[in-house]
Amino acid sequence: MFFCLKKYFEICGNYFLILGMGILATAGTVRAKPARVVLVKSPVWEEYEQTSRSIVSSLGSSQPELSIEEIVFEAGSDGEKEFWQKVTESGPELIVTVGTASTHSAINSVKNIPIVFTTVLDGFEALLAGSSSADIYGVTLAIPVEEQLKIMKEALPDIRRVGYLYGRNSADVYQSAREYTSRQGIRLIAIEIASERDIPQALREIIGEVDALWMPLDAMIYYNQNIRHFILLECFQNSVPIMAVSKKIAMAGTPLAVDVDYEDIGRQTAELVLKRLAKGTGPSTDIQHPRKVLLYINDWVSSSLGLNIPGKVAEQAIFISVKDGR
Amino acid sequence: MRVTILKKWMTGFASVMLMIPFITLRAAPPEPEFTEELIFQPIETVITAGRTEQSIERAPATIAVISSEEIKASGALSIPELLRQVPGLDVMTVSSSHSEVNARGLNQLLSNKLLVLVDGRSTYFDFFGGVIWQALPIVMDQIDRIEVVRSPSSALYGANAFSGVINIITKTPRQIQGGRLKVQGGENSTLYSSFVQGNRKGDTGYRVALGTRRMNSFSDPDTKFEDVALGNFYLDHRFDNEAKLSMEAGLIRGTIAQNVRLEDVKFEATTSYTKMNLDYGSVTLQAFWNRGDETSDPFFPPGDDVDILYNTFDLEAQHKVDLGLTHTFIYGTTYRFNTIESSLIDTEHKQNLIAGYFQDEYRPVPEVSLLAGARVDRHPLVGVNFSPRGSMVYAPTPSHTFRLSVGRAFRNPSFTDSYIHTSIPAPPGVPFGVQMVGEPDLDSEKITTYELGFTYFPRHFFRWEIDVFAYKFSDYIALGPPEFAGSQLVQSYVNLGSATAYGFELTADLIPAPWLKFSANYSFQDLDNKYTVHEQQSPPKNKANFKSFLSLPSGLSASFSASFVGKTRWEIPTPEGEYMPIDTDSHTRCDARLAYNPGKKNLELFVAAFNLFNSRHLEYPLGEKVGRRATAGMSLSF
Repeated sequence: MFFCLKKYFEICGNYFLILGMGILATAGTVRAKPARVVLVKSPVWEEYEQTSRSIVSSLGSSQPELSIEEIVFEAGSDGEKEFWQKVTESGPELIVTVGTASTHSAINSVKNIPIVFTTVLDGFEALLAGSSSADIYGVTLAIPVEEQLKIMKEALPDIRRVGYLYGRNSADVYQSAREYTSRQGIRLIAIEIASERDIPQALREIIGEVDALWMPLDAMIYYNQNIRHFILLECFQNSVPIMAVSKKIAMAGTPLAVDVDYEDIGRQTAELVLKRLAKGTGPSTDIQHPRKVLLYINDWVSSSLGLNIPGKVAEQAIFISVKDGR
Repeated sequence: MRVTILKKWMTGFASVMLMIPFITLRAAPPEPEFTEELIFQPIETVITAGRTEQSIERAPATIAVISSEEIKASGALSIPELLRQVPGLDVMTVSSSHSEVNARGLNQLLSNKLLVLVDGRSTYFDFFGGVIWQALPIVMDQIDRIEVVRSPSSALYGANAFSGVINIITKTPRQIQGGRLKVQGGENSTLYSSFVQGNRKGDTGYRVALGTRRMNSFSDPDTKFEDVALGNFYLDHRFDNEAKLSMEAGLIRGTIAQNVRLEDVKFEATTSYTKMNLDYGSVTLQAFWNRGDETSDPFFPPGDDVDILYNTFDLEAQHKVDLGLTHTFIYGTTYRFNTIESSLIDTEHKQNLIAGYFQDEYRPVPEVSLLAGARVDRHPLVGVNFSPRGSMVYAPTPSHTFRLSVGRAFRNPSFTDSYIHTSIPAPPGVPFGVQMVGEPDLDSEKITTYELGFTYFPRHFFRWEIDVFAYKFSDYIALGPPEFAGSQLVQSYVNLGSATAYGFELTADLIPAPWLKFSANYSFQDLDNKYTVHEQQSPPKNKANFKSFLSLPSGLSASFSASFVGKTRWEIPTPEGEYMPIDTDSHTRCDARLAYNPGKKNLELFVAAFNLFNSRHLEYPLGEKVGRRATAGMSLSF
């Protein structure tokens, strides 16, 4: 009897052992097939490379088993359709797009695969509107209006009248700015510009009235190099400090400019990738603004204008030293 | 022949105006696509120490701008010296301290057809209808820029903007932000000093400027031609973020020499002004009071001493209305009250002048801007003058701009024209002296101008411009030939005649490197004289200017300019009251300045030379030969 029971348990034990091994083996098989992510970056610019490196590095350190394939977006000879066909053939769980070119193309061409975009300045609302699925996450480069004006007020605490020239596509920015400045007791002296030809006259009109000029990204203001030159020179000659956007324009001659940290944009994007992968199936949307905004101060220009930037702000800022030459 | 040209111009203008509706049918183009790639692109550095670049804008009028940087680089001690480089302007150095300025062939002694504004205040001297440059109570270091419009602008500025407008714009307290001291002295006992200080604290800003200027004759360095002290004070305050009130006052006092007819006359002059501006939203109000008190030895010895006392009270109100994004309407009114007392005129006179004006600018599409304006002025002697103006600017691409404009302007008779009453004693050997009398029944001088301009501005470091003009003026006011009235020879002001003129100006600016700037221009003008007594007076046909500016990181900077002025012919008054044609030769003059900043950015040492190569020449037959004025100096900013 004892022998029979022993045999019974041996058989059962073997059975459970085999079953357990089978379960373990199955589990082992799942773990051995990691999620696959394709990162499609728009070409040429160092900022895309910097963001991409940061995404790969962040994902690599937080989830080493994740498979990431980097591809440069090429819509050239074979066309966009063929490009995305090749990308989706390998069955990625998620596509990361870096830059407007690859993002725009992916949203129009890829179905049923979640997309996380990054390093896209503007127009993502239009991208979403044109998308068949709403399974899009992303980090834009658009620094919120309130944050720009808050930094400006911290850097120039004495300002009471802020000038602003904007094109017709920036009416919503104007509304946000007007609401924020009125809450802060700042008077926004704004002129809507019909065409870039009106900018010299409009700037001359407000330049004597304002303590500073706020120059957020706006196609009308930033597009034409001659206009940018005019605004920078005219404001400098009239001792009106400019708060602009992008490190490069601070190097060109604005005393202050805000910009994003592309490494942090990469980290922020990587977190969104993990968030989307963890969520599983079902479309969803999460568009984020940059969480880290840097203030650049052109040392020579700001000291020439006699700006007294509070020590607390200056400590956090990045100083650019451009004195001579082009 | 020239009338035919004018007709062709008018026909061409009418054709273009007829095309406007077709141009405006195009829809406004969409804003350019704006992606992050635009902000990734490298941007050339615009603002650095020692940069020579200036902002150049596309302006609807034929306008030239002299910036504060160019003023500093020139080493000039007076405003006319700066204006010599402007295309289309005629600048004539009569003596070491006396210059006359006008546009497009209309220059003369006691030039009276150009409106000069300082921060919007007319410095027009109603006594003779011109500006006395030596009597402007401002120093060079306080000037931010000088805008020169060399076309009739009566539609906006009224009488006296006949040949153009020179608007001198001074620095705001915020632009000064500290102080600047400058001392410059050298040949011909030249001594110039200035001190400018300004700042802004919260809603209040102030500026103070003090200066002295002494310049002696080129031919006799011991003869004082200008020795003045001046000062001005400015204060502004903002109320409730909406209104801005500013008040200022200035005074200049001292000796100035002017060649008024036959020779240099020294005046003891005191000129002052008080001004108030109120800006409230789109409404601007301006009130000012100009006062001048000048005395001199007799113009025509052994006659009486000369004294001139004048007051001008001026009120102006303007309202700007934005009728949508592409439509701007401005209208305004002015009132001017003048009082004159002088031994040169028959009796004390008072004058009330009123005017109303409007200007409408419409931009149907971004490429096209249409401007129409008109002004009605009422003068107690000549009645009502109507000055219309229309222009079209068409910019098919960001780098190409075409301008077309037609305007009419006028100049009212001055107090001298209407009321002069003085005697020129008989010169030795001549039996009769001349009695000069004014004519109250004169018409206004009138001018109609047609202009076509093209600007090519492909990049911020290169700009090329051509302006072609034709004008016709009539009823030119001047002293006519002397006539006997009984036993007395009398010479009186009359409307002499008319003239037609055409010409063009070519300008090129090049900035090959941030530290190097070249600028050159050439002006041609041909005037058909039917307006002087002998119909022989003729302005220079050809003028050319070149200037270069170099600024090195080592602290050295240098500027060099050269001006060529062609041959001119003047009808010069004689002691007998007649006119005699006299030529002046063509001449070239070079100015230069070399400056060194010895490490400390606040200090600059410099040497400057006016007429560097001492080319002795006459620019006006009764003036003095222009000589060199080499100076050295320092400026300190703090």
